[in-house]
Amino acid sequence: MQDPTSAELRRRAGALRRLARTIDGSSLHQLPARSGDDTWQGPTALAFMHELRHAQRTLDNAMHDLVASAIRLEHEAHELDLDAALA
Amino acid sequence: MSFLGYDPNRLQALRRAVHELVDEQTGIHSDDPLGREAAMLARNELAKIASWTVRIDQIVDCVFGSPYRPVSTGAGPNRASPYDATLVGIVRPWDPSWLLTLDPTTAFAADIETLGGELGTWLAHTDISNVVDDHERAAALTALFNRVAADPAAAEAFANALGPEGLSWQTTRLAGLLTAAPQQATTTTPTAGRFQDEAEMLDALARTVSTALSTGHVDGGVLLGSLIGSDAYAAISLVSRLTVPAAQLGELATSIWARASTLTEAGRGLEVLVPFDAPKTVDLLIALFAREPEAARIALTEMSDDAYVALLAQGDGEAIGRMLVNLIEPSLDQTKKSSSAAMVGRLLSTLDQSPGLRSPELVGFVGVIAGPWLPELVRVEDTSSGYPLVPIDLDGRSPEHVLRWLAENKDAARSLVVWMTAIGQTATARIGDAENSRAQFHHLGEIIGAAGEAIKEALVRHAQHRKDVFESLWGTGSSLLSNIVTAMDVFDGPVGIAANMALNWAFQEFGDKVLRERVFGIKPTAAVSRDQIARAVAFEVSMMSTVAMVFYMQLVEHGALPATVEPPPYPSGEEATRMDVDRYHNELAEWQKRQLAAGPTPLSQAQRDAIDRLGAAVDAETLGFVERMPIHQP
Repeated sequence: MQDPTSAELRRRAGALRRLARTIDGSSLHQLPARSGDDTWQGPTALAFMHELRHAQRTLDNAMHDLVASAIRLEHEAHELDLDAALA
Repeated sequence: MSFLGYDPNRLQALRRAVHELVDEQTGIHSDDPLGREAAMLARNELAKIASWTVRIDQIVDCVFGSPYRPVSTGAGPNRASPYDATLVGIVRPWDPSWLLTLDPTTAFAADIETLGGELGTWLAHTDISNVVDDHERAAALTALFNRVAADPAAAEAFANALGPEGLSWQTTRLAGLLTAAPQQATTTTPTAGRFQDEAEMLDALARTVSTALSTGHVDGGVLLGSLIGSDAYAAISLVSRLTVPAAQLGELATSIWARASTLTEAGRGLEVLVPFDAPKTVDLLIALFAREPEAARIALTEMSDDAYVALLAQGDGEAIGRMLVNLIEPSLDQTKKSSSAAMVGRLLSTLDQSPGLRSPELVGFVGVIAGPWLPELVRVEDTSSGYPLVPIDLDGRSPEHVLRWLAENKDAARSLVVWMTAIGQTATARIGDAENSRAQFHHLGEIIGAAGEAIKEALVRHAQHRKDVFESLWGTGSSLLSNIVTAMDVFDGPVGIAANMALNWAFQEFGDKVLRERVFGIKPTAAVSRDQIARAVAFEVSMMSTVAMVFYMQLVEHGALPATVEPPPYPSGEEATRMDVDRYHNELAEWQKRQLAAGPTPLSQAQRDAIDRLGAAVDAETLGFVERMPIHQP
């Protein structure tokens, strides 16, 4: 299998960053403001808030993983470009 | 099964927002192996949250028979009360659009900090009088208060959510309800139960506020500022229940009184509703000071002159004196003694400048307690009578003035026993602290000894004043004896015990210190002249007859003897000097026999016992005391 080019790596990194931005911009993050004590209160409301916080943490972790992967790919692309320039 | 409260419009909006996540899921995918798992996890979470549309629909479309069954608020069975403290955070009595359903979910409970905030919000909007109408609701709210009060973070959240205005409103409501009949709080009628609930709720509110203030994150001046500015009676009702550092308590009390003392009678808010015989703002303030001497020390120092004069003018003299007794304990360290000296100095100076403030109780306090303990402050002249306002002088100056002053100011003389009893009660209450008790009574003995010096000198020099002396100063003693009689016959409590202890001290001081060395002018081992013995005997007969008369009067006053029983023998001044002890004893015995014989009104067995007891008391209190005097005949 042919090694990926630096351009290919940067394209993949870009796609991962776009996905990270999509997740970061999810309307799920606006739900806490809509589901506070002014909207409902009781065990069901607390359960919803509990699940919502878990979901937010999962989305945040996913977003950070995607950004980290993108940075790694961009670093590899930079290394390839550097090797090419030295050769 | 619990309850769920909700705003239908906002919940519909939430449902729409949740539903949008369904579309969002499709936009989250990745073909890249590095992004595939992250995308999948995010998509799953969105799907889970999106699935809540079903449960929200169940709530919004709640019908009878569904898990989220609609619930009505208000009175009646199977209804949730908006004033039920167990539903704090779920019902919103102030919001008409808020609906209520049953909630089948029970897995989650609000943490205590959240609950504290909810309670504060709820109270900020709920008229607490709706809660205290129902004992169970009141008990539930008090229990909730106590939970929040036990957690500093929860109490802080409570205070922040309730805010100064909310605290002022609720405290004023509770204090107002309590003024309706505060004295009923200790009785057991159904109505009294309600007042007990209100008192306990105010206690619980104070505990919660105290905890909030203890965090250091809540400014007491700000939180209580609105309350202090709106109603002094309500403010002192709450502040007197707080358990906060003395400095803070003193400052709050100063602020309350600074405001209360400047208000006119007509503008005193809740105080006008307080029953005539119930404690007013000034009474609650003084009671607080009596209970918290350190706070009193601060407040009485910081208080403006006008506020101080108002306190003396409006407060009960005896209560003020009791409060001050706590502040001048001889066991205080030097710093506090200096502070106490300054306070007593201020009191003397104020009384000197404002003769109208000189109630008998206050004058008695100053003369008997403050004067001897702080001799550097004595001799504030009472220009109206020409006699010292501070009658007791440890240097022994002007004993005749002391005697005449006390003879002419019977109320002040009687107040002597009030202070002696106050100290006795204090010492008895702290009986576990033996060293402190000894110090208290040593202090008391010194005072009585100093008084005794003046009394005996005047007795010897001015025999004609004896009757006046007995009626005034020995009248003071009669109050002590009265306490003993009462303790024997009616009560069994610290008053009787303290009075007995004080009396023993008085006799000890008179016997060993005053009589032996000063009255008779002899040393224990010295021979005495016939004249000295004659004076001693005369004094002894005088004392015996006085003790007998005092007991008689007290027995009649307390109903132990009918007034038809003739008084015991009471020789006059000249007669007393001629009468020897044996003769008086015989006359007293004859008197007893006459009373025990069938007279115009037959005596009951209890009354006959009282007459027997009178004779025994004379022996025990008079002869026993005289026998302790080491008089040696040549």
